[in-house]
Amino acid sequence: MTRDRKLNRAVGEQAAEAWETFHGTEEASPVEHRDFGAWMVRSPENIEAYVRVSRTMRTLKAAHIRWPDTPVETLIREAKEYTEQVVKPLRDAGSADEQEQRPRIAPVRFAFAMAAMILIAVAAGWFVWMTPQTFETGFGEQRFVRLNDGSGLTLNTASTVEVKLGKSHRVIRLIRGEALFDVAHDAARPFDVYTGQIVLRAVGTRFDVDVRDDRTTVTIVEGVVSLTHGLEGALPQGNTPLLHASDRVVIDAAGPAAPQHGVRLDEVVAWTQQQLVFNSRPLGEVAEEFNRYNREIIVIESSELRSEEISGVFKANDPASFVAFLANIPDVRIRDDGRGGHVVTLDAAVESRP
Amino acid sequence: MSGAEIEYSVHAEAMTEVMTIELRVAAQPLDQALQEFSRQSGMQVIFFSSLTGGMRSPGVTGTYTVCAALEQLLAGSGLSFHLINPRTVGIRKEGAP
Repeated sequence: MTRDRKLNRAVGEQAAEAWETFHGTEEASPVEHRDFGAWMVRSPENIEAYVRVSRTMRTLKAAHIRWPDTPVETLIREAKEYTEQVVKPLRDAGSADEQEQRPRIAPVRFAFAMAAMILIAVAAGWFVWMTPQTFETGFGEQRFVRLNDGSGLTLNTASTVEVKLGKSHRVIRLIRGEALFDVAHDAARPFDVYTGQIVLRAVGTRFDVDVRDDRTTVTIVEGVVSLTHGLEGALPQGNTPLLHASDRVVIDAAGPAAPQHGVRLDEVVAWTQQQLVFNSRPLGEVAEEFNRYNREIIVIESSELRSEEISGVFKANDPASFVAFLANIPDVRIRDDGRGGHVVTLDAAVESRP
Repeated sequence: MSGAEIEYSVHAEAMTEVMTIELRVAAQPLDQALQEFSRQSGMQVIFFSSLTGGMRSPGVTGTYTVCAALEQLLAGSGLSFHLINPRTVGIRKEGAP
């Protein structure tokens, strides 16, 4: 994954755990402070691991700071400040005679040096410490996955997700395709979905995310989700819109459009039953929906026909019935494309009608 | 998706006249009633949205053949149904080809 120096994985996990203890939602106890201090001075590797974790975590948490864009001097300064800040509570939490001792200064200086060294290395990201679980579906395939936290994940055709369930954070990257999320309630562990365009944060809720080309469509089925336009790690801002059940937002290169309200949810979740439900959808879009699941590709060449709106319920794997419907429309001609698909046209005389 | 799609060997009309299904479709806008019918019966349904605009259906509750259920759902709408194939119902104007 990265070309920088590999750290012992167990050390990395301990460091990540320590970071979560000190920066998670709970207050760290004096015992935890002491344990952490003891662990830190045990070996230089521990310090390095901790600095790396804290750097990458802060990078992830800061909406606008990204590794390659930040000058090295800034990173070093931040690492230094950060390391001192970490060590300070150790003195506060320790006993009186410990406060008189100064052995921890050395680790601080060491950590600083380590930090500088690390900064030269390639940014690894938080995920260094956790191997993601990857779930995939092939063309025309669907899959339900129950995650360890109790959340459910339904993957639609040709989709890929990476899942990381941390102690204080649950992260899903929807790399391609569409997924319906059933989030198990856990207020202490936000559930974030990254699509490359947006970050969605849910506590306990159900929502659908559909990534196609440069467009992400988010539809809330139950509960409340915050949507932040930005890359991974972007955090909800003060003006972050909250989306409620039956809200839908389409995000394209220009950013999120205004939310639509009152979306018909049966249409949104029908795919989990291998169904396609259409409420006044243009025929062109309906054909594209079938084409997501089937190699029997349907191309509607007539623009007039493509914009005709239809409603209905179909099995996603039954394009033949849809083609039979099209064939029943007066003046419609259907020919084979030579590869098992269909090309749909209107008679020329009808197409040129004013 | 498996290839377990059911192929009816019975002739379409005969099947929809003989096979009865248990339905509980409330009175509601016609387009939604037809979709609900589809979910409960397993029959695919398709129609041009403009046909049903603003119409309501009296619904249908009880044990019916597919044909009888559709007749009831479409009662008073001026619309009729036809079978596109054994698993798909199309809706059109009464008297249309």
